Amino acid sequence: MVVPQEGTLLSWEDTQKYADHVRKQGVKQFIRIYHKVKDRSCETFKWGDETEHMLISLDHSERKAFLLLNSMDGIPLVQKSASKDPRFCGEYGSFWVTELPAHLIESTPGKPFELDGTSLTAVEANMKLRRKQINSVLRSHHGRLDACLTLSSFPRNGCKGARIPRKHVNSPTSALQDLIIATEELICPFPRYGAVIRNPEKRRGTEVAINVPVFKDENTDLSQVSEHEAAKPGHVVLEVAVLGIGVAALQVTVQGSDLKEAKYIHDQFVPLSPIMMPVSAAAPIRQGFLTEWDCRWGTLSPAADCRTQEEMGLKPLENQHFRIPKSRMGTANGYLSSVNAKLNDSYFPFDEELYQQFVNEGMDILFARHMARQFIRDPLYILRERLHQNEDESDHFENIAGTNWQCVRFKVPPENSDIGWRAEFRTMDTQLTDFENAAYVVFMVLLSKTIVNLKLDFTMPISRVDENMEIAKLRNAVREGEFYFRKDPYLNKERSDETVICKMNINTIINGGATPEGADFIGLIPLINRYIDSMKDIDKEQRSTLNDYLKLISDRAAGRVKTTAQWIRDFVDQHPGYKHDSVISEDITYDLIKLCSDISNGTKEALHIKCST
Amino acid sequence: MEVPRIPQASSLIINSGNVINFECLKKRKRIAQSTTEELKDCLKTVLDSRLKTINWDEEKFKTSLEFTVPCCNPALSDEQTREDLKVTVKAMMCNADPEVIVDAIHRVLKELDTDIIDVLLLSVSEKPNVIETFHMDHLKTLWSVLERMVDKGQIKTLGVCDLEKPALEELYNWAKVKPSIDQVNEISCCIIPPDLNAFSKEKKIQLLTHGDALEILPAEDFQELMKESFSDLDAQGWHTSWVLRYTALIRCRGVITRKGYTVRAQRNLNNI
Repeated sequence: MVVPQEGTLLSWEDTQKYADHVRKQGVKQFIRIYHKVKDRSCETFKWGDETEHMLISLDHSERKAFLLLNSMDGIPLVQKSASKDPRFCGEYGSFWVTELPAHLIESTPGKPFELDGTSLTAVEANMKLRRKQINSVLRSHHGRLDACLTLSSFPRNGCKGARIPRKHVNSPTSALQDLIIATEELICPFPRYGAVIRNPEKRRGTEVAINVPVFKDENTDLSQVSEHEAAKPGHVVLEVAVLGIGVAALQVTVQGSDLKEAKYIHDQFVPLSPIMMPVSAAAPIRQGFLTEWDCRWGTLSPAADCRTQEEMGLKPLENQHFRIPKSRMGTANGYLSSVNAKLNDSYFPFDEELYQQFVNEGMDILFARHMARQFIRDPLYILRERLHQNEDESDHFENIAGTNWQCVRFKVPPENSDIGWRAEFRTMDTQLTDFENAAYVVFMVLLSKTIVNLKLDFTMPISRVDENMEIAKLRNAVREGEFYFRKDPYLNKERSDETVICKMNINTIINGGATPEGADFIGLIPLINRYIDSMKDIDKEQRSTLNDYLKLISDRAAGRVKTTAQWIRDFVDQHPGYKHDSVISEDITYDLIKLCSDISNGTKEALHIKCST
Repeated sequence: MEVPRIPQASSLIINSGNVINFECLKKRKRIAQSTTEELKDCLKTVLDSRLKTINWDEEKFKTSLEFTVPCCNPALSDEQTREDLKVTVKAMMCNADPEVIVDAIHRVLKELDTDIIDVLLLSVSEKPNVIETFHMDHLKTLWSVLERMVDKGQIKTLGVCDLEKPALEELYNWAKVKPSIDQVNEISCCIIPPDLNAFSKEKKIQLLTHGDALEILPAEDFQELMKESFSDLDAQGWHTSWVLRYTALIRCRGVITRKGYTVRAQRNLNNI
């Protein structure tokens, strides 16, 4: 969660000058915090979701859909309105923050959920409440209706005439068509955000060009999709980094009972992170084209890539210290529990000296290495007022840790709190309805409890996880993708070589079934059911809700229900205005967004997620 | 000629100990195994391991046998207190003799090394005492015993299983300690009957679900097990008198630290 702080930004030159200062102080702060929190144990299991909403505006008379770039204005309104009326807060309340892209806004429950009584099923009601809160403060202008939408990717984000900048929210639709929008206007105007998105480009020394392969339909002319000089053949190019990350995510955080259990959960989330991508896929259209990718994940990593030519291995190392194989936003760099040491088979550099220092402070080897890896990165921004820190502050540590975005984030507890060690699962796309979002969140929470309870193990060599990630984002990976997965999910560390994994499809992984090698895999949902059945105090109504959630995931994995991405593709395919050329016109966008909005906000039933069997 | 190995035995108790890490339960593959199969697997595992070291000459003359897996780990670890733990026991009674249920519950208390059960769920067989047909009086007889245990502080909360609205209402109106839970079968009761739903809401009776068969351990299944573990001749005449399943859950973490079965079977040697 990013809470914007006001302050004066240092120039990129000064930020570089003070990079070592920030790193050194950050290390000191981390060591201090580590000693304070290393033995922290939290008996109560807590969890929560982070759901990103997109702000849109619909002009029904002109048949146009726009993306609104004014999330910044919504936050104080929604917080004020929620605090004014306690009925509006429910049992758990809500918390709202801006995101870097100016059209996204993130909501979380006001306090974490636990595992008692009804909180597994309370998340959906809380999501509904949050949606109500945000919709209640959205105003409409000039016949346009503003709304929030839990949709991962706006089809024409990046195209001309598809967005309304903050200063133009009061302009009539006719004035928006030929508007030239500056990159600045795509970014929520907190100083930090601008730096975080611009400075990777400055550091790298080359302009960003995010290539996304275009889906080839009957009439698609792949040679005509982009005129950008950095375009690969048949690819559309997102020209600015913010377009790469301007896609909405659904994230889940769970708290371990202590450092050891949190590391265990982190390590299990790592191999699961590619698996949940095809099941939650919801971003098949980018910048006006149907693409070869179903998930949002593919464009994140290039958008935040700050590596120089030297670090990428394109030039000999002179000014920098390391060759770095991955962007600072990407797949997990390694496992954290010592038992998984052998599985960290991909090279990733770390600062040896720092590593030694962490080990001397009593951290175990893998955790020390994980932290030493984070500190090879430069800070992406520095606020002048925060440069020199008091003994008890921790901005520099948070700066470095908060700009290492892996698909699973291991969260160090804040020192002055009773919050414990946590793992955050970050690869899922947001779904249209609260029911779906609740289903995915609860699925992950139940899965993490099942893993701990039944002592399960899904780890595999990290290089295999990376291979799975590459397949996971592809079009129709939910049906066609083959993923490495562990055949026997029960923890048995004597057998962790390659023979314990084999390729399976998503259906087998989620629902169980025969693997290509002949053996049966039990399936994640049967395992979860085994856990739920062993909990004797889930009442009938709750159990039936949990069954509905699990059924959605099961149906999508089995192909009985379309994923959001498949549903969007089919909608486009059947749209009378679609010329089967992969191009998403304003007209199609309007109809799609209108339908999404009706479904998302409950005025139309989400028929596409119903399954008769 | 084959001779029976336990010719004198008319009572047999098997205590599984903690089954959480039983390999046989992990091996279950695709289709969710019924609790009957789970129970049979556990009992087989216990017998297999205990019979390896048994002195058959001694067993020959015993009238009651007991096979127990000694428990290696306590239900409570050092960090937790008893309050953190929720102990639930489901007593599935085929024998409606009040003394039998007292004995059964005491065994579980001893096994878990605790003096109180948080939730006790009572389920009475369709055919109590083998020959009779279920009647509310069977249930009430056992319920009275449990009420006394509540008075003594040995049980906190009482629940029943598979009662439809008229029976639940009858028990509710009659009982001194009211049922707080009605645990209904999730297969036979996909949709909660409206009258049961309304009544339980009004009386604040929680409706929970279970996946246990009406007879969790039918006589034929137990005899089959005896046949495999002892001999054809030793298998005759046995029927279940009770099955108790217990779980210990760390409340706030949803983690089950202990789960086990205690089973008693009996036979009348004169009838064989």
